[in-house]
Amino acid sequence: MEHFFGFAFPGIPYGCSYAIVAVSLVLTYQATGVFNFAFGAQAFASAFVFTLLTQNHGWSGFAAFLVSVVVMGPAVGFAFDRLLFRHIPNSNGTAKLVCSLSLLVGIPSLLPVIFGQQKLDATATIFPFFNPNVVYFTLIGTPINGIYLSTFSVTAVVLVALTALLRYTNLGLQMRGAVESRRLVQLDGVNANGVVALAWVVSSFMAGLAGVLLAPVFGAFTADNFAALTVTAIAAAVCALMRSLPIAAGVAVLIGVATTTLQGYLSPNSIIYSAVVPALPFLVIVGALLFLPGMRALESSRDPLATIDPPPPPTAAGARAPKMDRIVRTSWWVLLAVFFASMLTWIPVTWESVFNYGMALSTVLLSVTLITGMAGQLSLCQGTFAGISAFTAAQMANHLGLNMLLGGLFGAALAAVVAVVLALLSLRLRGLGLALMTLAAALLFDSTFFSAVSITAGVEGVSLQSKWLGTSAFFNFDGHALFLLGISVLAVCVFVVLLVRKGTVGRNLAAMRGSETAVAGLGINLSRQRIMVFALSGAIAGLGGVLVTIQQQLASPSDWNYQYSLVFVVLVVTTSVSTVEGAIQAGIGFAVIQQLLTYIPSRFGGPSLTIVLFAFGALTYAAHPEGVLEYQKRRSTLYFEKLFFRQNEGKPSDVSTTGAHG
Amino acid sequence: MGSAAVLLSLENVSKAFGGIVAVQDVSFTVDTGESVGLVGPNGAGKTTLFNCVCGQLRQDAGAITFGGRSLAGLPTFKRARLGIGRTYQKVEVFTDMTVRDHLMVAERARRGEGRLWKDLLNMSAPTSSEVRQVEATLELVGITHLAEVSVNSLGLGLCRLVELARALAAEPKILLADEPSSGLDLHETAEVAAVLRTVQRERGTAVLLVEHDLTMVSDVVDRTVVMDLGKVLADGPFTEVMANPTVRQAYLGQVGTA
Amino acid sequence: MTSPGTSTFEGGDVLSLENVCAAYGPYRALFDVSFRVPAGGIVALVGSNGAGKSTVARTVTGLVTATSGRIVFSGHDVTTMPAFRIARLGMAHVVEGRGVFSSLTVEENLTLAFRQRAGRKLLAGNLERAYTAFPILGERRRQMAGNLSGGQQRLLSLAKVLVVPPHVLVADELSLGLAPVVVDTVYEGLREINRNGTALIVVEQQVSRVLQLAGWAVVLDRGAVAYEGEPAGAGEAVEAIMSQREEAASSHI
Repeated sequence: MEHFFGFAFPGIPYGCSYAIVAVSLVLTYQATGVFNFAFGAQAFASAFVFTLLTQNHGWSGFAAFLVSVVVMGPAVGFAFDRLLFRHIPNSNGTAKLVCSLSLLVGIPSLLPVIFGQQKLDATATIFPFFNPNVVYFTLIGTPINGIYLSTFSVTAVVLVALTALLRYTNLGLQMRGAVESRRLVQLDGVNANGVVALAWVVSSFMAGLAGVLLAPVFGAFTADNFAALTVTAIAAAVCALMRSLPIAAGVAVLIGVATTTLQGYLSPNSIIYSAVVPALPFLVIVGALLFLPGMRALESSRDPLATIDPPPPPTAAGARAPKMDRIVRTSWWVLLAVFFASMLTWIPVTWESVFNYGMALSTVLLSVTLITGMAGQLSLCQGTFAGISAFTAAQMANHLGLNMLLGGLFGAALAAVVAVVLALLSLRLRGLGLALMTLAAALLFDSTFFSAVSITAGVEGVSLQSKWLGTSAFFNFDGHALFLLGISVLAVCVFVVLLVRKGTVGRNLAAMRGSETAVAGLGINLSRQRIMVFALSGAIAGLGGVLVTIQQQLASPSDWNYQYSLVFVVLVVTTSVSTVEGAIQAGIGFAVIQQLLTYIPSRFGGPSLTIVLFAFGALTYAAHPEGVLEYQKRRSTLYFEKLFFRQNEGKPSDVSTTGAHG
Repeated sequence: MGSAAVLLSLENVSKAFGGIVAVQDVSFTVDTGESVGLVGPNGAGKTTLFNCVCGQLRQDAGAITFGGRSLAGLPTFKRARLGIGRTYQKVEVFTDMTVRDHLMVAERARRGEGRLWKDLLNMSAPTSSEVRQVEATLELVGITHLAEVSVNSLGLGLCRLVELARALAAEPKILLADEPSSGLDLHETAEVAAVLRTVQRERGTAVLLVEHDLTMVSDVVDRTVVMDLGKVLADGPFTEVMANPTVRQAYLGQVGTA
Repeated sequence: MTSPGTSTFEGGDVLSLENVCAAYGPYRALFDVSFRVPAGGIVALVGSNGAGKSTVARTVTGLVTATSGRIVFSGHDVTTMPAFRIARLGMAHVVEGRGVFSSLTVEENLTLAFRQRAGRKLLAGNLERAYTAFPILGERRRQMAGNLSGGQQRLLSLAKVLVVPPHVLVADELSLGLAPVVVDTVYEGLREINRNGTALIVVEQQVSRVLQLAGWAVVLDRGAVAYEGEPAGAGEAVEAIMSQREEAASSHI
């Protein structure tokens, strides 16, 4: 028994760390209505600044704490609310998720851009009351030092304080009301914007506090550690149905204890040790999503006054006058022809490969258009589908000498199968539930499939000999084979997406975005429609993954980890999620910008700057849910129409029949 | 009416939410082509009953049969395919879609279409018979002029008509109409009532109508079922039921408006 | 009894709208709407669907900000004031459709309103009065408001304003989805708070009933005032608009 406690107790400080974050996540969700994926990133940022100030600038712990937690935390929260979340209508769950995701992606990339690459170790600690190096007493054979006492006591204080705030104060009640409808709560005389801003301030302060407190628990100071912290906290929060603070804390401690206990009992060489233990939080998320019925109801409560929001604007294509439409269409074809000719003639090799990469990426991104833009479901594992397919093809080439093009078809088929399994598992999930499920799937694959040396050959990845690429077998055209291959695959995928959108399935999906109840009431099998779309989207992502692999002659696990899946969603949403052009512009734009950034000094952040650009671009989603490019296109379309035709004299549609009023 | 075949039958249906009984031992039937009104005070369990019939909720006890077939265990979409259509108390329209597309979704669903491969082979353009059907339904409900309009720009009243048209496009054997006149003015209410009568007469569609506008109920229905606190209070011809003192007490208050 | 705050402003008007225009994004919904509500008076706001009745209600209470014109409430210019400030001046709005927080319990819904409107000390008493007036709410005080039936949710949102009467109550489609017996209770409640000094703006689809209650009527058509005057004339005005519509519709087809 002493043996058991010897393994279990060391899990408690970790568990308490998870608990602080889990409790804060639930508070944020209850008080602001946002599932803050970026919480770990915020914690990381505060810990980063704290460590930077104490170590590199010789500040005292107290001063650094003031700046990094007391000032920076609330300031960041206030900015989030003012600049972002305030502008997102309560009913738009996707926008809230996308914004918090882009913060998750953007913040860790932003830090090196601001502060330069720093090597920090998180030894500096500000455990206020207990010395981490002193053993205060021994409990059932386990020495209890200051880390135990401080994490445990802070967790207890946080849990009690936040529970009291949320459940027993008038402010907490107002926060919960404001989350459901900022408008309705105003009618009761509550300053809704102020209350929600306050909620953000409290939540971000908690993030900063958690970051600074927890950094020493983990020793190594990396963004990955904080991501793992967030994921475990998410698992606990999900188990608590995003509602109960004590359950969230309890589950978090359990996960911490279970991890160290399993690690203690299992042989480090066993499969379970290397596969199951790191995957524990994701298994908990999946289990909770599958078996706790309450998760399905999340995000389902809607603002009763949502109809006051102005209706979404029509797409640029829909708003164009027929004449303008013809001009735009023609110029697209001309542009395509010029691009095609240029790629075959004068464009230098470097840039040709940039465009090739862009097109391959566009194919992956098209899968996001299909699942998020058309089916309205946020899937955070499109990169995983692409990776599964890429490694399948690469290994088939490696072991069987199979041509990558044929292997790619197998890979895409396998990706589709995985997508179908995922779709079957998540049939009842929508919105946040589905996003979490797909995120857990991505993380699960990262820690199993993609980290298995036999599949991905470790961090270096599987490099491919050119004879397997198969491009020469199909086209032999002065080294432009890759371009021709890429553009044909992309074209086929574009047509597939367009046909689906035009067809019955596309119409059914559009209808499902409006009302799933009514669609089912007409005799349409929602589940089948969803499974079909997932399969197709998995296959398209898979094809894209193979293209990227062929282009880079390397299948590397770091290209397809969960962060890339997030980046993909953010990329497409930034440009335009509802149109096919959006995916292409995002893919090529990303490749081009990445190339351009190689020309500026690397101290400005290098590759992470690209991610920062797109991540913060995605924040425009708050103001323009149709995508910022789409917004600009609509504006310029209207401008040119006025210029050329002078017919659309901007008469505001007098609509006494708008659904918005009765 | 008595000789007609029973289409929908509820036997001792009960449903509770967390200890609070919403529907208790409710039994009644609707015959083929019959029009039945379901009235009662708020919270009487009318919408809950609809949800049980459509499969959005599972009743705790009791049996629901449709066309002689038990509905137990069937999901919503399968019940719809058997011929149960409905409109919703809170309108459920497809945002961003035109009225014609609403009907097209229903029309395709009625034909059991929705294969991905047909889309991929570009074989899913509307056929002429589908177009004719859609036009006929638009005509029936009187919204032909709105065919190309997006529902986003329609008011509540017109949205209810679109819902009605969409439900009718699926050619149900029974239409469950949940407060179709709610939010409509007198004129629009009369229109909806007329459509319901036409459908019942010309297509032989049975109608189960939940409605507070008693003028409309008396206009449309052959028979009325009154519910209160989850139980059936009375079942019979409209005037007879409304004369029942218990009903007057529970539903109309002292001042009868019937 | 007249509440202390409602002393005479602008010739006894507690609320006045002057040439108010409003829009939802690019869609214009109100055109130069003007009317007045006398202190302690009852104004009926009628018109067909899409005439802009709810928009007027929302503009008055600040949910929709007027694009031009002027709204004066209890002597304050509230045209661009946020809704919560207007509410604190004594405005209440029972919105069309569901007007409750479905993720809060019945008691929490009431507490939220009463704490802000009447203060903490009177909370217990006000809750008690609400449960006495609407026993069904007392029975379900621990239930999530979202689990109430549609009609019970309406009762809950009414209970908020009937128990702590405001200076002006804007009631949007009160009778919608309510059984006749409940409608009677609701109208009786409105009469009672009116007798105690609350001015009412009653938006209704069912014209006849509200015209019996009101002392003044405003008929809206396509976002503009089509008639303003004694309730007796309003029915006629509505009929005129209807027949116009019908003609237009039949010529359309």
